[in-house]
Amino acid sequence: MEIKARLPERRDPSSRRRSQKAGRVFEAVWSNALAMLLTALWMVPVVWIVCKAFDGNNAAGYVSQTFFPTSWTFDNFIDLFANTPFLTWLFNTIVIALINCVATTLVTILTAFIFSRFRFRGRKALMNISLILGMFPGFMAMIAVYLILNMVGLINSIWSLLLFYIAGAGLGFFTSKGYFDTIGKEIDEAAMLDGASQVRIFFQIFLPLAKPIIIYTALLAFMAPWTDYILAGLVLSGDSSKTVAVGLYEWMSSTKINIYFFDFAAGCVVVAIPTVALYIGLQKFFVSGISAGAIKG
Amino acid sequence: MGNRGNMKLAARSSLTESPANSDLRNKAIRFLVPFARFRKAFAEAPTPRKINLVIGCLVSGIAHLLLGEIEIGLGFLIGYGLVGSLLVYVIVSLGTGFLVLPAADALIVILILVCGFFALWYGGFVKCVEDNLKLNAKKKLHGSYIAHFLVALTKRIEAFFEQYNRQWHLAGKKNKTLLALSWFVCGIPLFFYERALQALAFLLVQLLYIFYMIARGASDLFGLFTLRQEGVMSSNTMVYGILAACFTLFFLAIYLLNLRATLIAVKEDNEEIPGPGIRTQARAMVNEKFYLTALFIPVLGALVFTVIPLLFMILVAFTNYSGNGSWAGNIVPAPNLDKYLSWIGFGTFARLFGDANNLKDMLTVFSWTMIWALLATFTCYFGGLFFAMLLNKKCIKGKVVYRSLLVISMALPQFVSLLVMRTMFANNGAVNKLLLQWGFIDWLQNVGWISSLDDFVAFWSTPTIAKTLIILINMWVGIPYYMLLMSGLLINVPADFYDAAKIEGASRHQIFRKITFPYIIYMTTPCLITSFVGNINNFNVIWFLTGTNDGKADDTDILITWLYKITIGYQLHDYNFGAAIGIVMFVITAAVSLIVYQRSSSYKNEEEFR
Repeated sequence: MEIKARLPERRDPSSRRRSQKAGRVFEAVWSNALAMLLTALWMVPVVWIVCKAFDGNNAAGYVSQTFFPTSWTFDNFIDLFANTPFLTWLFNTIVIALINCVATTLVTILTAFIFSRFRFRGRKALMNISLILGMFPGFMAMIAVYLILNMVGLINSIWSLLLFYIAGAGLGFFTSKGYFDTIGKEIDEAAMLDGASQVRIFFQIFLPLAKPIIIYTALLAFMAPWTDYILAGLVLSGDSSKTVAVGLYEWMSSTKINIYFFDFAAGCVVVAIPTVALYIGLQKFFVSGISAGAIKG
Repeated sequence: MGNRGNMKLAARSSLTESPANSDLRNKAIRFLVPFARFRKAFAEAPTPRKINLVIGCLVSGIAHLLLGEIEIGLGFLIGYGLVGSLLVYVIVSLGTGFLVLPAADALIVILILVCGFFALWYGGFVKCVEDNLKLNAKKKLHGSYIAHFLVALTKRIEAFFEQYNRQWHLAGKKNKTLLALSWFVCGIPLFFYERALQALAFLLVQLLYIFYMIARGASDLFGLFTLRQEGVMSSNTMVYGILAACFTLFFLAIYLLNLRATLIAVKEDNEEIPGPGIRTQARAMVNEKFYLTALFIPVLGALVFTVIPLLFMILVAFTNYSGNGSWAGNIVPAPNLDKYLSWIGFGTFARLFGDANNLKDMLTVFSWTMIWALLATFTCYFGGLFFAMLLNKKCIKGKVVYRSLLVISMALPQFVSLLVMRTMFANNGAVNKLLLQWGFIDWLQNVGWISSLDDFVAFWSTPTIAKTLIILINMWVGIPYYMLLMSGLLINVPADFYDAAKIEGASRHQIFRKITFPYIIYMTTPCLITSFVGNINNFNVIWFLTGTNDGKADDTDILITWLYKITIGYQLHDYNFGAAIGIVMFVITAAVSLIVYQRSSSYKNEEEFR
């Protein structure tokens, strides 16, 4: 009732409406301008490295005077694939990424499902332990991990990386568990009444429902070997077993940067194509994945 | 759903309330509550516990020890003692000039230590008051966890033997034989009771264990104590020793399970209850006991690749496993690491705290780590919120394009974008060339900010500029992630909050401050903590931008990159020193995040908020 009484005051004469409109136009202008400016700022390094990848002036050392190249060429890419072991590195990384993507996702999602749906003795303790273990600075363990992998005889093999990733997959269940917690319990109770086993509930009911979080987990698992430097650098040292992260990082050391800079630029572009495509394509799932994860951590 | 209603109510009431900062006031009041309760507890307590309360008020932990809560008391006492003595130590060494720190670093270190000290005192105080109130109300305390565990264990063992005796007397010849057999061979007796699945698993474990012990396990286990294997002391010995110890523990557990399972089987046979049968057992493994099947791989993986390395690291801190030959007489340089290793107790910690240079390095690195983690988390958080609000406006055209372009910076593998940034800001990099072309370098030289000999700004070797740049570049990397996160959350803010606020006539600013922002903070507290801890351990950004191969603590180094330098990176192999720092660091991160995490509301209402 009070609202009605207030309304006449709020609806103002035309002068006020006009100034409101002017304000709105002003806001639209500055918002759009700001968004454009910020996006441009974000794009600078990306554009720069793409330019370098196609820079024809590649004899002049790694710093040319201009931002945009004066001549364009594909030579850097040809050199990259013909004269360097890059193709092997790329192949290694893709193999690791694909296998890791499937295996890690399965383990993580399954662990999250268990912690979300089962109540058993020691559940809370296990969850707290995994939380604490997650805070442990991972690479301090690398020496021990190296020795263990050495014992199994997997040094310099991409399987060592995979083994390590999959073994650690169970600890990253918090995000997915948060998502599963939001799925109502009625669904699996109904399925249980119908006589479905827990395995069937997981595969036939949960997996379809959890599509966003599965895609999110899979995407992160796929990205891990592209970024991991510490363990990969320690375990994979032969030229034929490196991943792109290790190989390209070594090209940027002060002794090699002058020789390999343009190969590096071309390599970056090649590496970026699949990852960027995946991220942009799966953006929608990614958003629901991270917001679900953030809510329950 | 009940939660939603509450929040709506809260949103409405806070809009109509006076603009005084009610939230802060509530927090302050909540903080003071224990003091009022202390007075109440003190008034009602009998004299011995009055003394207990006073002690609890003075020294954290002792009061709990006196009340019988041994673990909690010890925890508080040790934490309180360690942080307190560290604080005193730092202040005294600063005072005597033993330790020379820049004023800002000293201030931050002391501030953090004082906060930690106070938090421990306050935590102990609150717990002591609560305990005494409970006792006043004639309730019982939980008591010592270890004592409880031991008592329960003894009871279970007694019960086992009682049952064993009874079944032994009831049993026929076959059952007696099998019962006796279970002490020697795992699993085999179970074959006779239609429990083939369990039997097979137990038997397999035992065979594997025996085989392993003969092959290498026994000498490995022995090597853990002497660190000597086949006449050579070796670092491998330690890892293999820990592995052997873990396997032994696992086998013991299986052995006990086997005894119990056999007893149950015999009991069912004696009382002529039909056994579960193979089918039912197999079904249980995929149904109500599915968690056993599913958690097998994660638990085993975490054990081998996380827990064992963690134990290894803790143990290494107490050995002379190090490439640093200058410190103690009996240390052999790095290339011969495999050859020599022995226990040295707390020597490494003495080296960390007793040497002025080491202590100074650690404290400066520590203070920058904390600043970095705070700034990195909050710049990205609020930057992302700002971006999300900006792109969420109705008047922005082409949101999808902006969002996709921004996502590129997140999608690029970090080493790509960071190495590109590093090259761009190098002394002869693109940015310096541009500055030169535009004449800024001349101007800077004229002003005298850079020397006239250099025609570049030394971005990476000037500490303040490097640190600022690192934060800015981290924003470049991190903001798009938070932008996606925040825009996901902004859509989810329940519309009825906004409707209610609009009816009340709230301005946009008010709506943001009283509804959107609290909602987002409420939702993202766990995420903030994770990202704070993540930033403490954020190796990539610092390393790819400013990593150098000098093995010293640089100005931009955070704890983890410093650790990397002195251990794996560049063949310094100062493992025991690194491990000691790692332990200090791990304790800090774990304590901070556990306290905050357990106090955060979304953890407390795990069941309610679904």
